[in-house]
Amino acid sequence: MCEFCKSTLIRHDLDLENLGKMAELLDDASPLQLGAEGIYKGSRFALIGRIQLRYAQGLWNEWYLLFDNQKSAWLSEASGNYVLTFLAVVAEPLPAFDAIKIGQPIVLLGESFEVTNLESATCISGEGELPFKVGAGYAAPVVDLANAKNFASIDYSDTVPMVFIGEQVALGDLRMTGLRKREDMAGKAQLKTFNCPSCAAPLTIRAKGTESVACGSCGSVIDVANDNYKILSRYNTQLAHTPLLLLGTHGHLHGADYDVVGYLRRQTKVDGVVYPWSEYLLYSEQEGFHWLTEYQGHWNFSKTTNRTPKKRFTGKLNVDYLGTTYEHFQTAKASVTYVLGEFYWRIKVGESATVEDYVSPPFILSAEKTANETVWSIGEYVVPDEIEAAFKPPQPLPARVGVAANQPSPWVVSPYWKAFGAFVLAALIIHIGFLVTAQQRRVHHQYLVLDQASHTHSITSEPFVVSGTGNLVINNQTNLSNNWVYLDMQLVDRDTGRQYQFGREISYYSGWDSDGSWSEGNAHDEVVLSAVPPGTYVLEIEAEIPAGTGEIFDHLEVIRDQPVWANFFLALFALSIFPLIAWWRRTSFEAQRWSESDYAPEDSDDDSED
Amino acid sequence: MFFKTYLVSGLLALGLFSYAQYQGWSMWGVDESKPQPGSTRSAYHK
Repeated sequence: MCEFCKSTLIRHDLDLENLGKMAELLDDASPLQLGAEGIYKGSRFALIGRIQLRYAQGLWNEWYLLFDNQKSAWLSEASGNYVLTFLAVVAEPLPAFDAIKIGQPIVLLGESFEVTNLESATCISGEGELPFKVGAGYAAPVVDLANAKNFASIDYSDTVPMVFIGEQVALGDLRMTGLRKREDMAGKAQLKTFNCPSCAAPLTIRAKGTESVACGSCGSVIDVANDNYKILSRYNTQLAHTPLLLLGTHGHLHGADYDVVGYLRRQTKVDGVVYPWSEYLLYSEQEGFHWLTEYQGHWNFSKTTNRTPKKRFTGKLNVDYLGTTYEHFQTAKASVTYVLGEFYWRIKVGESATVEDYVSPPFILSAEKTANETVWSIGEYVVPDEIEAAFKPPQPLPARVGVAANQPSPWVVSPYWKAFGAFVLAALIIHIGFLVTAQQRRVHHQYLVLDQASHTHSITSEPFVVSGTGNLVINNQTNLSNNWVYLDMQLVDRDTGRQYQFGREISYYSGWDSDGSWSEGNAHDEVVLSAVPPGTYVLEIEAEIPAGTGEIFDHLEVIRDQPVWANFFLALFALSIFPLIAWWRRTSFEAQRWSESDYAPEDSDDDSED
Repeated sequence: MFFKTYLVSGLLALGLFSYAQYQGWSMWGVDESKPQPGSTRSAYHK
């Protein structure tokens, strides 16, 4: 292809045949150019040719690559996304183009792919060296396919369909040299202004590759692929919305510079309730087009991906994407209600798509399905502060309402449970230490006979010596049966005179009735006196027993320093309070998240929380 | 912040637990006051 006169020349050994002139390439935002070189999987290549294709929504480039080993490949470039593919000879029979449906599985080289795009495109121009003739252009029915790892396309423009298989690549990973200079691109990317063909309002094109511009004054959507400025559609300007981020605003987000070039409003309707949200189209010379979406004060930064996540049916429809499982959140039909600014496709108000959202906070995978294509995009939750810092909107951004589908939970519970486990282990070791080292020594025991006289004449025990630290446990084992006794006890330190007074009521009743046997109370009683200092003590006991009762026998036992299990369980309870609070807050957060999904419980309300 | 508070509180709880075990404290122990006998006994006993 002669770049000066645009003639197509075909080489026959040493002879060149002139096939005539072809259309000019349309200027676009591509940083690539003929002669640029790069490295793919260790092999050096150069860009030696390009074809430009137009489809209903815009343009894309196919760059022809030649490796040092004379192997060739294609680098597909669309809206800042790149896919590198190699011609493949497949044994599998290929279906006819017209018989293919979106989402249809097709096996190529033993690998299963899913149809993601059906395009009746037209090759409109070319440059450089190409393995075929472009001439005045030709129809190019193309099928795009993808799976979780690879990308494929089937080109039906020739009699025999050609299959190309490869993968999505990042321009940075190809280590390319000889790209268009930033200054050249910047020079070509100067603002282009024109007047709206409908209302004459001044309009601006900021991004290279813009296909349509929406006029905010009259609601016309204008085709700007060429200078004819044909009106594509109109929308109702009475439904005008004011973008939170002004068109033309420049900002630095996630390591790249972006301009806000387009704004649109979309909405879904579920059970009669309309859920609107805003989408801002960002353009970066380095990164191409990205999106910022805003719903109820929550923001996502997203871009399209050519990988198709792998679906998993595990009770719920989930997908795997780059090693991460995303849970299905909702499926809804979304339609465009308002557009403003420029877009890289021919946008129309009212165009709709079925949107499937899958979440793995802070990420969200979205599939937008139309009759012709399935477009996957991957988004990441961005806090409003970051948006404000990047784009400095004229008004403060609205406060967040509720919980977004992919909003990261501030309550990560696992550290709490790990800490709880460590605390429990420490408490157990401490408790075992006390169990092993505690005295648990019986310092006194005595058999008592309690009768009516015990009430007026108290019983005084033999003196007993208490040493060390800890509690003092006083056990009374009686022979009560259908009877009670009240013991008024006093522990007296003989050296200091300090007294510990306490009363214990012991009762035990049993019998039979229509329900069988029953019992109530206990003939045994244990009382713990905390932190009793060492010394020599006596117990003074006054007993009150029912009138008419004879003698009651009581075995009195005093034990020094008996470990208390209740303290251990009390400590466990105290240690679990914080993890339980964190778990409860996280559960509440997740319940709020899923209350707006397809899996919301019937009685879920719209409680909100910032 | 909440997690750091938990770590500090947990260490304090362990310290309190150790001290309680050392002293032999019991939630179900008795204080040194003496309940008045007979106040509920008539209703309690069959």
